[in-house]
Amino acid sequence: MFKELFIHQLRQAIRHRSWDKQLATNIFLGILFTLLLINIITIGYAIDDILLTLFPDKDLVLQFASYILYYIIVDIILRLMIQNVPALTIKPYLTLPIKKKNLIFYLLSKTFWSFFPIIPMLVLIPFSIKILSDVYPIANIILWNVGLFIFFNFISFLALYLKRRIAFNPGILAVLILCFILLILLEKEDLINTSEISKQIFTSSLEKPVFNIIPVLLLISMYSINFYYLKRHAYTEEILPKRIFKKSFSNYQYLGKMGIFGHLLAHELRLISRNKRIRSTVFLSIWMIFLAFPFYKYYSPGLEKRPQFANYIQDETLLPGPDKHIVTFKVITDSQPPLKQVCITGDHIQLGEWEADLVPLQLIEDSIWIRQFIFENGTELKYKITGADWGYEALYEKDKIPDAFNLTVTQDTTINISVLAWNEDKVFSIMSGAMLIYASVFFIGMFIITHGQFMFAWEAGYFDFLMVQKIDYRKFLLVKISVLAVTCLVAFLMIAPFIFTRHLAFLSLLVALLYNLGINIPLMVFLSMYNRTRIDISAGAFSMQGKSGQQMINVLILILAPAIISAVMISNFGTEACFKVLGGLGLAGIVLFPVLFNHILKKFIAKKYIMGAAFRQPG
Amino acid sequence: MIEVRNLIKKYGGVAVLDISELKVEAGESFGLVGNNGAGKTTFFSLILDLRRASGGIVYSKNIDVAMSEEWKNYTGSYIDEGFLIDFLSPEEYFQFVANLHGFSKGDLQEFYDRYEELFAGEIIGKKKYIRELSKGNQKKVGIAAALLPKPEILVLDEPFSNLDPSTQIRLKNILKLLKKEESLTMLISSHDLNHVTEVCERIVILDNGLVVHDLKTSENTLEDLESYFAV
Repeated sequence: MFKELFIHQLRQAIRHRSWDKQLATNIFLGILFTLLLINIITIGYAIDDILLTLFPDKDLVLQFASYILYYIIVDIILRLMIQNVPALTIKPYLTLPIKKKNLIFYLLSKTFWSFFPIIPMLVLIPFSIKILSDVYPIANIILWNVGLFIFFNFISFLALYLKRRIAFNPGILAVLILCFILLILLEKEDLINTSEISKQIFTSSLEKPVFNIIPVLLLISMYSINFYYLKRHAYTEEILPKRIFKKSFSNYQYLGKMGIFGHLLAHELRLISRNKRIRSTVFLSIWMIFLAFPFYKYYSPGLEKRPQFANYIQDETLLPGPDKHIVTFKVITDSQPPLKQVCITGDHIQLGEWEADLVPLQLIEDSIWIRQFIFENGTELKYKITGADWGYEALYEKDKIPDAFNLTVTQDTTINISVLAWNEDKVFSIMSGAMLIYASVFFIGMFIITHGQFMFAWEAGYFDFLMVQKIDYRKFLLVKISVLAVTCLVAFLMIAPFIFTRHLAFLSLLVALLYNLGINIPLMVFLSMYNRTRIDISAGAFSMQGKSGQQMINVLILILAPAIISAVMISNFGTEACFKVLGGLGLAGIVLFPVLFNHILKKFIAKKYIMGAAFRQPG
Repeated sequence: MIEVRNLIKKYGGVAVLDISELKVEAGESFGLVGNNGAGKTTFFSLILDLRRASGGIVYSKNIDVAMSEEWKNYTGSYIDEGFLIDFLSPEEYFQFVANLHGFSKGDLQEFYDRYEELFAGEIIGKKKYIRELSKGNQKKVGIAAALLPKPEILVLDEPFSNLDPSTQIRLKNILKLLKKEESLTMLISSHDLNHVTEVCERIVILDNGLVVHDLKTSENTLEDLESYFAV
């Protein structure tokens, strides 16, 4: 009987409706998935190099172990958001002569098929082979890996149970994410040292394999809890993920004061918040913002340009003292730096650890740039002067890129540096400039891409209703556009404070904001009129229904176009001109919005019959 | 009230609807019958400007519906589930329609009171989204929303199917009352000859997109219709 149930399960997967989609889409997704897998494995394989680069003089094993607990917390939050709760699948069997406990076993066994516990193992196993095998006995390492794998399975069941018992709305998830951020802050303030705890737990379980019994016990107890809970509640309506009904009846009354526009906005918000598939576009955009922080922090163009054998000195003392000296750097130049900004960079943390645009100098009078630092007596420094980008290094002789300066701090000094000209490394500027634009447009415009794509298709189910109602098409479209615009602004405001000091990165973010508002939004509204597959908005977050090659082309137009424009612009006119042009394009789009909007409106009225006809077809 | 001239709708070169002239007077109750594929839904969709006519014009109060949206102010309609916003609760859905027409809270309450019998306590205050209602209750929501803006023209496609017997009778009474007291113009299609002859004073039979009969309802109408379709 189990055999049959498992065959059904297999058939369900094979015959899933999403497979009926175009072959090209499936192949594309397959490639994407494979690439992702390769990426993860590569990270696992290179994890020692990555850790070495980030923390050169620390113990790799300890460093690695200190992150595991953080990963587990992120994993739990992620699972609560996206792990599916299998439930309805047993409905047809409930009335058949099958023992309840067998059904529940069947239902729970699905959880072991999850992909989630495998992902961390793809990093853990290569790390174990490369690093741990030199330090610990093989048996310990194998048991450690098995223990962790069992632990990640325990998380699967934990998430399952929690999702059945507690209604997870975006609010609770936001609180969880805030708690996670709080943990990081507490560690920074040395109040609760999560990474120290993580270190203790995971190194001791490496040293004493007996500790690996704990995940086994956890898994067994969590499985039993799930089992007995389901046994008592073997009704389909009781084992569905829980949700609070009352809470989601938000009434948005305050919006009603804005008239029809407000009513339509309230409708839009309900549309987004009440449908799983659409909610997922919001979550994805939020995760993108969180991804932006590490990107801007660790995306360091010019890695190969940094002087080698950097001498990392950890010193954050800024206050003057008996053993400290004030060092003033004074750059004098008649040559205008290409980005109108002079920066210093070097191997000291105060000098930005070779980030080209992190430590700007101040323009005090015409052609004189200055900045003061306080270093401990005896500090040895290497430093260079840049034009806020590794593509623009300071030159002291014609056409010769200088080596880094050396300085040993022994007294208060002022160092005068006369810059003759600024080197222009075209290839480098193009790559780093285009990459920044590409990434910034992506981070800010994520919601336009994921949500705007299906702007009309989301409402396919009742498109006819909207078309016979007394709705002003102008306001109908304006509401949708405003929602997109607001998300761009929110993304900008969230990321901007963190990179405010990074000259070039911040500029790229600003340009990306203007470009997204002025160009990408009108463009997306226009393109979305061609996404005419009816979408089942109550389907799961990862439903591929309605996706086709069309969307990929749209994404390319939205993201790749500005990157290509910037590559061409930088190669011909330099980074600054490029940013000006892209930002100018965006501004022009914003100023000319009424004109663009009239075109969109006309197009919409002309296309509404075709859209309506397509939306009437089942998806 | 509604006037149709040389209306043609073609799909792939084949005409599925072809009506050279048809007039529905103000206050008239107009019934449309015909077998599957006769063009009933297509006809209503054209009147509601949901599909683009291949030729000809639909006038609503002498204005071309494809050119002006004026008709939306006085036309209530329900064709199929495609008219329901299924992730809203019925109250929210009614509120939304009321907002679009600029109705006040009082107007909405009046609407609830007036159609309390139709809702039969299964729609209002149930804390359910429309997608969680049964097919019959969903239909009630759709029809009620069509009546909500106090339309002058009401377009209903198959309003009686899926409804329970009591609701069918209540709906008939409501429609008759609206016709009598507010001289509502109604366009109703149905497969149920009994209901449609009871509610409508004029019956048009569509066959393959053509108007084949146009009769005033009398005592014999039901028998005539039955003999027509019995072939």
